[in-house]
Amino acid sequence: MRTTLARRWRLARVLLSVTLAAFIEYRAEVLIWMIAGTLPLIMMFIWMGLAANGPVGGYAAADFAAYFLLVFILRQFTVCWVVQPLSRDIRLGEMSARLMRPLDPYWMYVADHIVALAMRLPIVPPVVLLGFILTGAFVKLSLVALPLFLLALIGAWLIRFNMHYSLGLVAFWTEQATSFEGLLFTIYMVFGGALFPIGLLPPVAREIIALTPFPYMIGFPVDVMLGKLSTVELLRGFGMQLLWTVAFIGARQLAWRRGLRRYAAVGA
Amino acid sequence: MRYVALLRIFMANSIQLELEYRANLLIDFVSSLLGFGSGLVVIYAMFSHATAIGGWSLPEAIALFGVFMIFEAFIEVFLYPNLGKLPEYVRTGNMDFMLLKPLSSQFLVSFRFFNIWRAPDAIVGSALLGYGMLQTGGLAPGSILLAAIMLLAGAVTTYAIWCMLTTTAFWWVRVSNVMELFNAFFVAGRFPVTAFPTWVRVILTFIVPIAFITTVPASAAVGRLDWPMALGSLAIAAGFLLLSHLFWRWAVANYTSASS
Repeated sequence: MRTTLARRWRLARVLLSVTLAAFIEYRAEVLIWMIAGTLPLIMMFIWMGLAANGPVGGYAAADFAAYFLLVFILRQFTVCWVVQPLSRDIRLGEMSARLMRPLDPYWMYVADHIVALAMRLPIVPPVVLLGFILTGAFVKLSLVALPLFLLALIGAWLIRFNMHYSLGLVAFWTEQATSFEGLLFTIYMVFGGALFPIGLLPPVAREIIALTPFPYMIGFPVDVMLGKLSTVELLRGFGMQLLWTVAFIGARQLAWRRGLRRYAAVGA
Repeated sequence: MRYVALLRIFMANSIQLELEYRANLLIDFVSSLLGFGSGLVVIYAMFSHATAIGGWSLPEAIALFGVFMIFEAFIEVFLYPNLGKLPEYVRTGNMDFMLLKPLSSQFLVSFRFFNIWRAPDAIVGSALLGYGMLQTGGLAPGSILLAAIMLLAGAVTTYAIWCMLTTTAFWWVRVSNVMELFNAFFVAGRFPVTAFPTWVRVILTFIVPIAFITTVPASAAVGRLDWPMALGSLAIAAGFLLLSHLFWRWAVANYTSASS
């Protein structure tokens, strides 16, 4: 027990330090991707403008500021690009080399993404803090909810990463995996609540969207931090996060096993 | 004239190439539909709670979104397949072959490939623009012509910014995504520039002229364009195009190839 733990810890350390070295080489690219994620801030300006003369659908200007600054955090810290490299590795046969290593390739892609989050850590919080100071939206936050928010953020990451990983594995069967990613992204941005709070939609639409995984990747963690949710809503939200995480991990494992058999059969 | 003939050959060749990948057709179609749908949902969400965005009415905002879609299509059809590959050309050394051809290298790098499957976005965008015009000033030939000229100027400006961004690849060989910087600002173009706080408006007008790319053509279409902005748009297009050409020539002159 102790030795497997020690071995895992060593593996994780080596993996993360190698990945970090690779990332530092490409730090300009990482920075550009970070800057390219301005959409939540653009939406913040627009909605704050709409609410300048009074609340819009129950949201005052400061509410929109807090909402979209949190959306910005969610977008930055659940960033996921795994579909591209994963499907490329499968199509070009590079997966064979990865399979030689004494570790499920899944963890190598996980390491990539965790390092990317670490690189955002010194940049995103100061930007968001500045945003909160300039808009005076601090009062809208419920600071006691911070631990719950972090939990919801982890849940959001798990859903998103496993969803994208499952999609990337589709490359075992078709070359179109990356094209689906674009479709998924559009739905994710709208249903997730990155363009407007889902609360602004009619109740019927809200109920339908609440059944999909998307609001649990953006809107739900944001609402947790805003202290908008009752205990029942919190329980329901975390329950849905758990449900979708388990569902996508299951889908991932199924696709991995089936796909690998197919991959071996092709002889790559 | 020679360049027009070449353009036609390139286009025919690209279409032939693209026809081999017809599997993308359905997905591209659905993705156009989704882009269109999500844009309208955002507009719906806004106008179900407000009567105007930055002084723009619902039909005017729809016309503006149409213009935004036309430019998205322009970027996907012309810019990504060409300028988007420049960092790769430089990194792999293929740029050397481009320079050897008896043609303007900027022309060759800019207009070799066309991703025709994204062109339908431009048709949908035009339809939205037409709807917005019908609901406001009407489809007068004068405003159609003015809008077309402003769209063209916006396209030239967009091209020039993209060209200048990707030209940095000659120095920053490792940076393959520099054109994404344009998107950071371009996403603001689906809303009228008047909807932003003053300091953002200043950035979007004078530093990264997104206002001239989308707001100005839409203003022309719905009859709310003033002459200073129209002339400014033409001047900016000409200025940026010249600048991109000078920058390109300077970059190529200083280029020492991948092998050395």
